[in-house]
Amino acid sequence: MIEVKDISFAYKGGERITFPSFSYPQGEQALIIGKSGCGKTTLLHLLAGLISPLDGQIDIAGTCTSHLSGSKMDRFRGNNIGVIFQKPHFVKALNVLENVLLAQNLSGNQKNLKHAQDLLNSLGLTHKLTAKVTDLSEGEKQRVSIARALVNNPQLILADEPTSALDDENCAAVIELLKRSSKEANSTLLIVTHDNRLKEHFSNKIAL
Amino acid sequence: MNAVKLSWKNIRYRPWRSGLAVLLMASGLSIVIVLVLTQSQIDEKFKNNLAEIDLVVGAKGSPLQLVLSSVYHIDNPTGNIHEDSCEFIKNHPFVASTIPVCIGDNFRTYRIVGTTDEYLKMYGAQLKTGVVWNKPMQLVVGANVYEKYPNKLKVGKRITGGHGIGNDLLEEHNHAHDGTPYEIVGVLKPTGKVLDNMLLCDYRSTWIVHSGHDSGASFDLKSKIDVDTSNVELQDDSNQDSAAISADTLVAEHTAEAHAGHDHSEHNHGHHDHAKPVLNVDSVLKTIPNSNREITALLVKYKNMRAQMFIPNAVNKNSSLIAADPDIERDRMLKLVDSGIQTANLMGYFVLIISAISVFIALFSSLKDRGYEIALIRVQGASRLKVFAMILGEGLLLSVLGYIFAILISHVGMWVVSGILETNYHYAFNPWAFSIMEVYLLGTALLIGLISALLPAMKAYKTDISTTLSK
Repeated sequence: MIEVKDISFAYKGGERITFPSFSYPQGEQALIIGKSGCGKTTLLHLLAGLISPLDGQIDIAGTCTSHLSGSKMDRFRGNNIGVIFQKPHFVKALNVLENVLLAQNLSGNQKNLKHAQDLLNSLGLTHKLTAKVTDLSEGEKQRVSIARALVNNPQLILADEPTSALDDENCAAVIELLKRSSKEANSTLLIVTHDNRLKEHFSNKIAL
Repeated sequence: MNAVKLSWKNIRYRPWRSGLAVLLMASGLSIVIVLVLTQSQIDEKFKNNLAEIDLVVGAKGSPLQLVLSSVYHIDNPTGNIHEDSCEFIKNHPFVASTIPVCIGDNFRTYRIVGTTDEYLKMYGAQLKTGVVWNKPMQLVVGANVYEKYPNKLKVGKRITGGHGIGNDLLEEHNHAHDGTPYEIVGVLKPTGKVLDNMLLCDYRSTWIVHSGHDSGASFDLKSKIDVDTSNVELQDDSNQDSAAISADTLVAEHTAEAHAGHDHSEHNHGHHDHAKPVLNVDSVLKTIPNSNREITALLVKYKNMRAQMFIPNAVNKNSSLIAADPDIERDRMLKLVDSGIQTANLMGYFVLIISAISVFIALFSSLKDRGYEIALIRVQGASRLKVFAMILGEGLLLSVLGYIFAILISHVGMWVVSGILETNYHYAFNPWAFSIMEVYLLGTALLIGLISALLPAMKAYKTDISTTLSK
């Protein structure tokens, strides 16, 4: 489960942004929507623990992450949070499967080759396991991102505009895969977006 | 996918940049390694061969050249001196012993050195087979020479020497002393010293060999050997023709080896009579005038160190002689070599500094387009410290690769150079000898990798994930 209470943040020399409080049980899926520049990505970074809120509290699966600092937050994030970015980036020196396995290694979890392969197979990437990440199409890249975010069976999956670079067809496919995979892993899924195509897929919405 | 593997993949992903860094590192290190190995082996060789020689007396010229030619056998001699001009040294009360050295001939570029059996004793040489010579024209073969020509140099075989010290194996026009063959009587065990690359004989052999063409005096040895007569007398200086005639009469003596490097087209081989005439050494020696009794150098051993005060001075008073202290000359030589090596060493360290910069640039520029990757790795749970260590690891990996290549390059390089030295100077290095310095250099390499990776690693450490990902 995730619980966000009265958090606010301010960039250096910028205005203070206050975010609405919300809470969802484990395995729930929700959209966080708002116009560009309203602090959607900032909220995602706060939830992922990449930055710390000025005040307020964030609880993820029973851990108060807003009070974790430094390497403790890194470890928690690696184990419990999977992040999918707007533009999928990878370690270019590694192939598809290696990128997924790297996420496993960095989280400190035991290597589980089969789990990584199964995940990629279920996302329709069976034939791309040893492909260079730079050779993938945008849709394929985003699916690898999903596999990478899910490989550690995280409590929480955060997605930042995961469909903005995709056409309608890929958009629908990717979002379906994301929803299905999250459900299978029993991960809470939060998607930050301004993409109106996604609204019909989700009943839970938070407006910023 | 562990950290080392990730570092390795990242290095391989940028082959040109990484390759350049590794190449520069390997170049710098191998320059230093080659110099260290060369210096230690030169030092060792030069100390080894000094034995117990206190003073070298030879013809006027450079004392360094005298020592190099007569002790280390790498340079040309300064000239010859008359044996009798050294009498006063031999008889000096402060002198314990003297050993004559005659250089001037070679067998297939290996020096034939005329001396006394004292020379063998001085270097602690031991016979593998055969005996030491008991008269001129008998040869004892050094271990390396024997190894090179085991069939030609068996005990009992006869060979002829070529004139000159023969620094060039391909010099086919080397004048051969076909008429005066040596007989092999012994082969030495390896000593690790200059002896291994020599053929040794009684120092008077050279007089016999050279009696035919010395200083314009056409002393005709051949006809006397041929008839083995005791009726010997000095040929008149004006009797130039007899040498040419006797060359033909001596065809009979030619052994197979004698043909090496000599043009026999003029000889009438149909007249060969293969019976070998006995060389009456004593009678020939009697015919050699004092003026032709020359040696290249005299190695002197003092009875006590007081001799140091007197002998060199006494020698240098003689206008045709010079005395060289081998210790002083060796040190002077090594100092020269050292300063050369130091200069080259500076170059090596300079290349190492460049290589450090190239490792730095390789990592720093790769970080530039890897900023997002670093942030990504952090998001996936890597701590700042882990990212820091990862970049340091890449620097270390580059330097270890450079080091491995350096070891390979330097030893293979030494092997090649050693082959060239062996062919040209019979002075071989052991290319597979390792120096403790090579272990220290691994430390140096790691340090270079560490230092040059430090700044990039700091940059990675400080990466602000949130800002980087928002770009």
